Amino acid sequence: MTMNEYQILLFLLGVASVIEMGRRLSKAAQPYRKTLAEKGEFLLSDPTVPADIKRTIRVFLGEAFGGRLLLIATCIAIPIFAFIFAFFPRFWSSIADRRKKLSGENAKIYDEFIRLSNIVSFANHPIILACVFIEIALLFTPALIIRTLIKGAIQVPDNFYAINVNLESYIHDLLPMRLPVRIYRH
Amino acid sequence: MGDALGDNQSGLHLKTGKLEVTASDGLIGSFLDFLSYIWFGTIDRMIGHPVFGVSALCLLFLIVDRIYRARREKYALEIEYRKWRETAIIQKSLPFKEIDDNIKE
Repeated sequence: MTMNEYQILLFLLGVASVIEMGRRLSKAAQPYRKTLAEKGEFLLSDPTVPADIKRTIRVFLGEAFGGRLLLIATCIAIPIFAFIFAFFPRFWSSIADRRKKLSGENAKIYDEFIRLSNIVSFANHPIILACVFIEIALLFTPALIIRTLIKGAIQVPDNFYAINVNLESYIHDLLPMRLPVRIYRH
Repeated sequence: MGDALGDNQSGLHLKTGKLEVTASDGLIGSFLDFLSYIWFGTIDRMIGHPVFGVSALCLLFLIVDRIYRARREKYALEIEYRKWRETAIIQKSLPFKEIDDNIKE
């Protein structure tokens, strides 16, 4: 293995570029984090919102600057969930159909909350989130075909766009050690 | 002056002017070989090629500077986010339109 000068310089330049990219992405996502906090706290203050949805919201509010472990765990668990999606639709519904418990206005705010949490996750860990989405596209498409063949009708869940968020939330509940809650001092 | 690490090890090979990595037993050995290759190889070339040396030093400085700046900014953003959440908890509901306007700006 031999590296010439240009390769070493390119390697160092690549490292510097990745660090700078992360810094700029994190800074650019700050307004979205604030809106995420607004909408999340609004839903948390509403007594009609079910407890499991509130737990999901707390997880994503707490992981606004992190979430790497959760994304990696989701990446690993997606094949299992694709299998569940294909062959055990009732169990899948208990995992992914939480949004149905919300009323009209709260459902819209929750949809926006999911969209913002995806943007924030993208800013925090763009490569891992891309892997999650690619894995979902590759594995859930055949799972959907299998499910369609079994049922005889195409059954796309209403909240298919939020599949990664639902999985992350469910996996967070399954983890034996919950992710640490960040404490800020100022 | 001979090779600093011997003929059959990674790192400086001043006789041939080439840098080699030899396979060691085990994962840790290979990793140490790789590190020594990067470290001694870079120093060797910095001595031999001043332009490369200066460029590499500048890039290393840039990396350290970016890491330091990223950490400092992230800490500031986290504090700002925390304060924003506390404000939202106190006020319970703020006009979303105002926040959306901030994003558009």
